[in-house]
Amino acid sequence: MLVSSENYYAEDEPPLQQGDILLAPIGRIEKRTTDGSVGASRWNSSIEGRTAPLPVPAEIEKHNDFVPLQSAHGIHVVMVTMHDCHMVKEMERAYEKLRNQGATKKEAMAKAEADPNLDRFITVSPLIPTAHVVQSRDQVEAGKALGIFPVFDRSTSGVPEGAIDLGYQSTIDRHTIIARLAVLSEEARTALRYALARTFALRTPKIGFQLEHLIGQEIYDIRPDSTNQAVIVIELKNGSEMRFIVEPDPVDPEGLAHRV
Amino acid sequence: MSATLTRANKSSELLGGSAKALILRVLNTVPRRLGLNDLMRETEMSKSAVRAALQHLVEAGVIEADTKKLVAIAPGQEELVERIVALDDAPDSTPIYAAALQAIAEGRVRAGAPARVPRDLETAVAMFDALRREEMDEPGLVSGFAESEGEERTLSRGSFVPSGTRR
Repeated sequence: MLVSSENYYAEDEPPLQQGDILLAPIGRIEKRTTDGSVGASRWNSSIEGRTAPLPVPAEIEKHNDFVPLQSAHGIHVVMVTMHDCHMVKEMERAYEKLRNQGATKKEAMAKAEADPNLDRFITVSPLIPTAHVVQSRDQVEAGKALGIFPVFDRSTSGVPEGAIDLGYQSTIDRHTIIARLAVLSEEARTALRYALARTFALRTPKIGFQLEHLIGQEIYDIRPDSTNQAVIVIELKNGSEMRFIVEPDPVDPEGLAHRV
Repeated sequence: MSATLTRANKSSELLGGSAKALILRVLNTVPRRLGLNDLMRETEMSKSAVRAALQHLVEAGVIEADTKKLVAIAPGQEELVERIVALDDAPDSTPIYAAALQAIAEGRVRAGAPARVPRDLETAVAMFDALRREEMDEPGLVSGFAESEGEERTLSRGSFVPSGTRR
């Protein structure tokens, strides 16, 4: 799925959402290095910068096969990869509970949003500058490089050109976000979801997108007809339906004799 | 060899980042025996820039030039050249977020974490209510992710996202 610099960024400021480019902490767990440096990785670009030993229970540490651990962490330019749904799940439950207890809508909303412990964690991936991305820029922008997602330069916000390494998923506390640097357009967010699907779930999720493109409408649901299993109903976003009849196999005019 | 490497590093450090980049570009080119014009063409550098870079590399003992002004990597320095060229791939001393910090300092970017819902409570409540109504109309279809069976109702902002995003 192609994205371009023209339609990549949005100018409004919606709530925190998937695709947001942030300045935030990032980290991973790795084998401890002897000198405390960040361990070797596939990224030439510096992401973490610092390390800290990770203590483990003595029963594990004394085992001969135990590999000492360290966290590698730092501040980086990252992209939110978690879907918007998962950023308000706990808040939703709290809101419902407060409403059931008699709170007004505004009171329930204010209280739920103010609770710092609800929906604390989001997942982010780091931005790798173009100079350190192995794949050609053309391939990256064309969406042909699996596992990475293009980012276009937005120097006014401090976002350099590069690519998000979707294979590096870091869970961070949303309260540790230093700043939101940029917001993606809906087109770019769609492309991001496509890239995430290809990286983590399906290698060829494009069929659904192609079908929607051919129909010219967003597909809301696909189901068999409740009264006729030979009919497939495609429910569209605008409320209309398309019905497809599964044709039976053609009857062989020569019958069984032909197969003998 | 390490002393030579130190000299080469020191000379490039003294020159600053851009001169170091020029030296690296020359080093990437000289594995073949090349003349000044060849180097200028291949590195797209000016004559004076190439000469300056070559001078530092010759002083560092990394390359040598003959009477015909053809340059090549000095004998036994091949590994050194590889290591110096590899420096170009080493982490940059300037963090990637330096520009972001500058943008925050200059007020071009707002510091702090964005809220999960609109800051205006009325808008936020309207958003939640709209989502709940939609969810009741279309159970289990929010954002295209099938929700688990049961009493828990699904509320998300996914339905605020237009076409092609509900999967």
